[in-house]
Amino acid sequence: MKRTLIILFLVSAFSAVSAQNKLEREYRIKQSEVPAKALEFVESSFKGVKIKWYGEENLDGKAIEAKGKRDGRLYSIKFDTNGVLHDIEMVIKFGDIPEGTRLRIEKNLQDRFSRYSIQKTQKQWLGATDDLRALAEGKPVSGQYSTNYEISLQGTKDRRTDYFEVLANADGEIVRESKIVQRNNQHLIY
Amino acid sequence: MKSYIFSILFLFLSINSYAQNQVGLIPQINSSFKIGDSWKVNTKLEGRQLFFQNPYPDHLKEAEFERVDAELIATTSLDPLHALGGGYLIRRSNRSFTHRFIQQYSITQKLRSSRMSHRFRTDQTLDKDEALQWRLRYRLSLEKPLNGLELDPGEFYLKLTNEYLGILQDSEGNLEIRGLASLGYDLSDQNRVETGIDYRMEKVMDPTVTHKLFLSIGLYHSF
Repeated sequence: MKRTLIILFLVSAFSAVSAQNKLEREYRIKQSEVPAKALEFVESSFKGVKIKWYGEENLDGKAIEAKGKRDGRLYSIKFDTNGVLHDIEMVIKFGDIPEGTRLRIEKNLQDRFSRYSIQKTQKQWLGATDDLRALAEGKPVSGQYSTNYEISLQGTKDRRTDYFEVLANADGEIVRESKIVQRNNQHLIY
Repeated sequence: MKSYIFSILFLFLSINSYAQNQVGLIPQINSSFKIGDSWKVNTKLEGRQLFFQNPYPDHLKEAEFERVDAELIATTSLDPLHALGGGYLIRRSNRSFTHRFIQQYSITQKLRSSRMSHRFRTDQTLDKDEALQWRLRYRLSLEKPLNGLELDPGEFYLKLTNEYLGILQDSEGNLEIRGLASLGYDLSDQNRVETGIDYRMEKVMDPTVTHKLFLSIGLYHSF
């Protein structure tokens, strides 16, 4: 209680001169706070994988995310707050994208940025729970699902360099581009 | 376990008896603001209160308010990772002023669940009745959120820094090593508070090394 009061006092003392501009917040949650449906999916499809659970809040609402490493590859499985599966993402190398799609993405990035350097690439699977379960378990998929590529990059446009996140579909078309707001690093430099 | 505690106690007593040392408090207020799109200015006001020093000058008390520094650094971002800049520091200590000119280059990298900064600095210090002092510094800082992969407002974080300072004065070289472990709290995107232990090992090349241990308290605000 005392700690909460101190934190509240500090927050109220300094928030008067501050403005919130970050659009996404992520925080660790306990396994006991995870919806049963989400827990069942992860425990059955990612057996033996050490999982960390996170809550995520952004302009679209709240979500639950499970993150873990399997066969040296980092997976993140996103659910809504009722435990309904939204997507599965895994970190891959940009070079692992099928050639046709990769060349199309490169062409589109060259059109958008005068210079860019890719920091991270994630493959994203979207579809029905059973199909995503089959994909996660490496089994044949009967239904339809879609594959996207989420790419974090450092890019220059209009002579200004920033961090960006772009989402490309399986045809290599960029369907979303957003600038990543850099957090203040003053306390790390001084 | 018992022998381990005795060893640490013995080490502490040894340092106490034979080395020069200081124990104190370093409070600092740090604020930054932007000038246009490409320039950023950081100002720092820092004090140093000593609670214990060995040896201490005859005409002074063992506990004293040793110094106050005012520093201003202007930097320009080369891109989101790299920044280049320079600045000036003025210090009031022992009833005299010290002037320091600073040049710095920094790199900040975002890692999967932390952020890391490298800071390279050179500075030139002008002190009354002393030769010009040149220093070459490198500092590594790491921020690790204690809740989640990224630091968000209302969350605690751990900050670790390690700095090496090469010093040249009157054709004599020396080395200083600093280490800081802090617990920080992100109040908002503009405000942070930190407190931690700052350990400094000075005059490393001399037969008698100086050990300094401070409680550091920092407030960071960006406009």
